[in-house]
Amino acid sequence: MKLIACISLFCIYLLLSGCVGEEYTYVDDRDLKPGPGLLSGKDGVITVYGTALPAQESSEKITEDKKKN
Amino acid sequence: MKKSYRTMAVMATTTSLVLALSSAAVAGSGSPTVTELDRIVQEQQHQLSVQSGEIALLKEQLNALLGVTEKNKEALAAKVDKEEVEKLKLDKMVSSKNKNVDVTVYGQVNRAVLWADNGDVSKTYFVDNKNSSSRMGIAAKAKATDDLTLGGKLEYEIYSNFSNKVNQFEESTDASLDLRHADIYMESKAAGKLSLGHGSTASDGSAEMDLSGTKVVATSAAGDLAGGQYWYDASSGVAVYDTQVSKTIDNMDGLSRKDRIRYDTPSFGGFSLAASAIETGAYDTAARYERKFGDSTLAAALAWAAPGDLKKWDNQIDGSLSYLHGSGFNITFAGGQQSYDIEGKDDPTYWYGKLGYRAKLFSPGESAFSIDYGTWNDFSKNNDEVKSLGIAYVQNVKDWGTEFYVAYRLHELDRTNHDYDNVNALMAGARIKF
Repeated sequence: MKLIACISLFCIYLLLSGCVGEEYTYVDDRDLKPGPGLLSGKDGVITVYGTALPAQESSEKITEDKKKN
Repeated sequence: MKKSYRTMAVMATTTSLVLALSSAAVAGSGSPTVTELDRIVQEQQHQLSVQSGEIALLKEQLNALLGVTEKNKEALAAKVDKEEVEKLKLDKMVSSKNKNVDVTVYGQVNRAVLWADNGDVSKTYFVDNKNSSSRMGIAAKAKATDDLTLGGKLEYEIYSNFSNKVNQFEESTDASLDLRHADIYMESKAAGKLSLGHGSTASDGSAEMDLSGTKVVATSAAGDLAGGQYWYDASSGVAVYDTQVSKTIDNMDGLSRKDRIRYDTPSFGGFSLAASAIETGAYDTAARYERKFGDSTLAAALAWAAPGDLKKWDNQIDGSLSYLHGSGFNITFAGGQQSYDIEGKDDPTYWYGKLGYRAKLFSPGESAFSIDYGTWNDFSKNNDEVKSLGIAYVQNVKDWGTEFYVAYRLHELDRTNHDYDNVNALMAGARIKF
């Protein structure tokens, strides 16, 4: 019961603190690491069709794009 | 009579004289004569002719330019496309003017040398790092509207000798190909994301929120490094190899990847919720929090899962939290508990903590260091207590898309009526991203 209360209070704190701060998208390092690749260059993926939109963007870029929108 | 003739002569002479004097006066004042006027007119006519010729020439040149543009419109458009493509500096098999569709190929290779000693046998293995296996995939994405994106992903891991499988009795395993993702999704900025297929369940990754930068070789999944090693106990006089490290350690990271349908809400102030309905009657749910405060970053997750027929336990709660300060120092916690409905079986629990530091110390890229410690209780047998200590260093070489890493890990098992030796392991390798 105490544990649930602590977790709830912490979640409320995080919710309130969400009013400040900036958007951030966590990217799992165990997944494909964001950033450039040895062969794919800056984008980190090899585009075989379409424009050169990176399949995986750094978390910073995702945050910037969301700000613009 | 003579008098009138004289008068008339005088009058005529006077008139002539007056006329002559008038003419002289006019000539003396500068007014153009007809000849002069004629000359001026001729000069002006000549100037008009010249200007007319110049205008005609300019018209001709303009028409010539317009004619070139019209004729080479398509060639110019193609040239602009080509220049745009060249600016992107990408090798593309097929180019398209459709800016709303992308198909990409991606992958990584992650190989290492693992040395492990269980107190009886020391061996060196050539492994695929289970923390982030070698894999490749293809992803497609189409932007239907400003709000809606549709996509799909097909990904396989391709490996031999996983670092959590090789052991004293099995130094080499066959090469394998396992499906990681066969997934389609619809994502709306306003309404969230719906995913269908084989992919991450809502609780996948909930125990592994980690901003340390050393996750490629050190995570709460401590058994991924030398987890295949057998515990060795010779206290009874007989060598006992009855269980592996991986059977006594579990970071309870949700239900991993399964065939499921999953829904994720949009992010509200950093918070998001997810839930999935999974094959064999399993289901799970998770809450995530991801936020940046100036230079600092906080990422956290909490998940609950009911595995249906997939696991022996009834339900599980787990979570993790990681904080990265702007200075580079970071701290990570993870923990969880499983509930068994088996008489006499204690509920397994664990907790894990990591301290780290990351900074750009060398020009090729960021360096990351970490030390971690965790304890796991009652997993394989009641009253089992496993402790694991790890030290890791990861060096990024950004331009090569490569991370070099080295890590040491010590596993210790305390079991009733046994005296197992510690398992020591050292792993060094590299992860190269295509």
